[in-house]
Amino acid sequence: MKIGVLMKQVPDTETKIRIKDDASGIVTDGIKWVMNPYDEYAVEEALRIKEKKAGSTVAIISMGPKRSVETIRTGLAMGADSGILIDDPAFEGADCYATAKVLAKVLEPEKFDLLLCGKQAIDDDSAQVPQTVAELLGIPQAMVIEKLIISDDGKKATCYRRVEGGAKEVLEVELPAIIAAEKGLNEPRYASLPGIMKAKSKPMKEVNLSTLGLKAEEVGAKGAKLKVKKYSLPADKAPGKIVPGEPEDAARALVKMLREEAKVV
Amino acid sequence: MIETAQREVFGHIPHALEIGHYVLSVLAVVFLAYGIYRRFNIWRMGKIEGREGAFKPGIKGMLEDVFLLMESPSVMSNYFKRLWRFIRDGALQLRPLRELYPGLMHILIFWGIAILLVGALVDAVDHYISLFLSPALHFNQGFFYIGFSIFLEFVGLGFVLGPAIAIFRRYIQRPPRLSDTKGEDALVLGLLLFIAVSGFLLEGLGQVLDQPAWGKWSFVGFGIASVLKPLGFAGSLYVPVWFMHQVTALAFIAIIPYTKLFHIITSSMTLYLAPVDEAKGALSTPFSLKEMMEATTEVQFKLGADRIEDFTFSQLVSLDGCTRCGRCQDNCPAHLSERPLSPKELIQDLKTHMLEKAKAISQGKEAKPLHEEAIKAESLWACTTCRNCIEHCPVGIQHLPFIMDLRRSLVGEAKIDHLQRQSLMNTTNNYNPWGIAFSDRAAWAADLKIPRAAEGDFEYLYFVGCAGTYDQKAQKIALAMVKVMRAAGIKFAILGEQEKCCGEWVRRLGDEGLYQQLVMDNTEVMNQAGVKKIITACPHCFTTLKDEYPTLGGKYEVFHQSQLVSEWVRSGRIALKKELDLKVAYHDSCYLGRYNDIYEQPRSLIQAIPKTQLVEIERNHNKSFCCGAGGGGMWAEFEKGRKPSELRLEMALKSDPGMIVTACPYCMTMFEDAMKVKDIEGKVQLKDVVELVAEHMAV
Repeated sequence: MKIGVLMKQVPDTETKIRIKDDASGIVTDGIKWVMNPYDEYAVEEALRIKEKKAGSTVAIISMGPKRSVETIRTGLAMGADSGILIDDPAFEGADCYATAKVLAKVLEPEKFDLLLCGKQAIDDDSAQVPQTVAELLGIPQAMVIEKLIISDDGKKATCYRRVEGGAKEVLEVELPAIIAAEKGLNEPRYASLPGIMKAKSKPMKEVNLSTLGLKAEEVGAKGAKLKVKKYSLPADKAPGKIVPGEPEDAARALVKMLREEAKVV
Repeated sequence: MIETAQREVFGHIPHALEIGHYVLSVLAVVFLAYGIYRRFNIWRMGKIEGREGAFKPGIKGMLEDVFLLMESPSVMSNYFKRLWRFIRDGALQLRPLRELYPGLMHILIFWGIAILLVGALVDAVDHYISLFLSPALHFNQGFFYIGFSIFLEFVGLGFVLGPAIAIFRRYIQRPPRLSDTKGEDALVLGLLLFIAVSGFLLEGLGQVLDQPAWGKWSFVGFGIASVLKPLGFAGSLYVPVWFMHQVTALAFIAIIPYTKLFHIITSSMTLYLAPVDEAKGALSTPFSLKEMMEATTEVQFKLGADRIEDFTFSQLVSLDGCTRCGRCQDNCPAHLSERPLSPKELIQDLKTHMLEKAKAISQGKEAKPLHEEAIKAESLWACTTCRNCIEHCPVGIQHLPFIMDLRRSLVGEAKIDHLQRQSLMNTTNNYNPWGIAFSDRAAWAADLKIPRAAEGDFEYLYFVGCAGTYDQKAQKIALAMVKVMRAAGIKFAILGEQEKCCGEWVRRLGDEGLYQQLVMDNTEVMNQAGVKKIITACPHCFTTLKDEYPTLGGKYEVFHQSQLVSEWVRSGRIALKKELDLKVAYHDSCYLGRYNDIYEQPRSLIQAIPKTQLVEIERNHNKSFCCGAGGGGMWAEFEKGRKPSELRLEMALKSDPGMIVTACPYCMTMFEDAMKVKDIEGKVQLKDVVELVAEHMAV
């Protein structure tokens, strides 16, 4: 099977986000960039399928600035075979649609049997790119998947997802399809540094606006349907309160606080 | 009369039997030599410095390897130190004697055999020089003979007693650590006892036949003779008993390489080959990440060990050096808390695997894999790297390097669990195992106006470590140390946001790559700031900065804070005036104690506080019982067994302390958790020794 994994490089979850003075975006200095945690599940799942199906290959595809190479390499060190970096100044300011458009253009000629990705990127939490890519490519999609079984002939995927009320939904999709990973799909493996060094020798393709044959007007901020007007930080949370005392008294005090102070019950 | 006292060698022995004795002697030596040769070829499967590629079988390959070994640093470096250790711990048996009962048992057998062998040699030399050179050279007679006989009589008694004690201990007392008794144990002990008893019997029978006037000096033989003489037929037993005694003594020599007796040779070799470095805690450096990063072509390297051949010749010898005495497991916190590790079994399993692999190779077959088949990963992860096994191994086996290389290969293959992965990912991304934002690294010191090393003029760099930085309880230790340093008038600085995890636990978990990355980052910052002296809050940072950073480009004078603070108190820079009327129990951290021999400085600080009574916990000093946090244990989860920290707390509580004092933030966290479980928080205090000093200084 030829498997492609869509991966995004995001700030580490512990990053203290700062907003640029003109509110046009976040300050990227001093940020530690990591693989989007949901994409880690996608990479791991791809590798597990590869290990089961002889002759399979896994490619990591990422759209982002040059630094994304390092994160692609982490995926290669985990065991993927090749990487594609999609990078061009013209892609800047893209929304989900403009991003999906470029991705679809890259993915179409590659003819992957299966596309995997995280259910959302933890930076902007949009959770729209995979669905849009599926629409543009005209292939089925299965989102927020906790368990994935690929049929022996590699033609079908059975996908399990949790739906409201604790119930499970089981989807069966024809491949090729795009499947987005939820936490719990697997335990991603660890890529050690020497492995990352070794991964330097694995093939890494770089594509840009001209190699893709796209026009600058269709992509990036110009091709976007959505424009971010400004960024702001959420208000500081009020500190939590500990209700002391014996359980019964504490419970009584808590109910009183919920009723009188918080006015929620 | 005494002047003429002597013994006739081969007296009463028919000539044919004398010849038979020589034939059997030659056979015994041939058996011995062949066994050693065969095993030597097995050890050669291991790595030998200077040898390219795998080992070549046969005598030629063996000789090449012997020459390489004779030149290799692990054999020839520190020659006199090795020799002295060999004499002290081996010949004089000081290491086995650290445990008096089994030590005495062993020394009786060891010295029994050694001295009686010398006795036989004296007989032989005397016999042959007077036979072949000149009868005038005959010296084993008269007072010398009598004196020597009396001496050997005592030694012989010990040689009966030794195996008898061993049999009593192994088969009647049955301590748990001898639970793996095998057939060869009975064979060897039976043989020893038979040789010893038949020797005395022979002496008695000889006296029955000869009735020498000086017989009473050989008092055991004399006693036996006086019992046997009335029997009449006793004299006729002399030749058969002599024959049995000879055959068993020669059999003893012949079976050495095929039984546990081999340890006479292999344990000696192990003891000699054990490292003599001052830096006890330093692990090997299998590759250089820096070179790897700078290289334009792919660097070939092997990460750890996944085959027995990945260990060194010396390491394979040490597998045979293990006598299954079990001292390691009796001191192992993982074993004693019922986690799936016994250092003894680990070494024995590796030995079994080594022999199976050698057999498979000679038969051209595939051997079963080392990981999971021979050694279970859960055993490797159960190790807290506390060094107690190495500390108490009487023959100098280094268990930890085996475990570390096996772990390294597991990490290389990503065979780690999610918690281990999480702590390593956290450290990759935020340079601390908890994954708290690296930008908050100096938050603990926000209001303290401590100069940064990059800008300030300072004598000491205070390397706070991840615990002192992020852990609430350990932050108090760092704050206390700042207070103490200021009181002592020390010029110090911190790295602040530029400090990263020292990498100690990362390396011991087996992730050499991330470790070296952290070392590179830290040394770059410290070298740029011109750091010369470092004070650490944590014994783990201390060990790696002092013993391991130098080989990777960071050479500094490193102190643990308890060392310097005790010096400041001793010299009067800090005066401890406030009283503390309390029983204070001190817990030795492994990395301060066993790794660095710092036992007394922290204790001296407790004793320096007026009215404070220092009490010892059972298993203290170099026997200290690990809290369970080392070697990555702090971030691991174990399904099996109990928590070492809870066992340790129980031990500490037996000495009825009002306060437990540590000098390591890991131990502190482990005790803190154990106290919560035991619900004694607030009833017994828990402090770092430097906190105690800060609270009792006269300011």
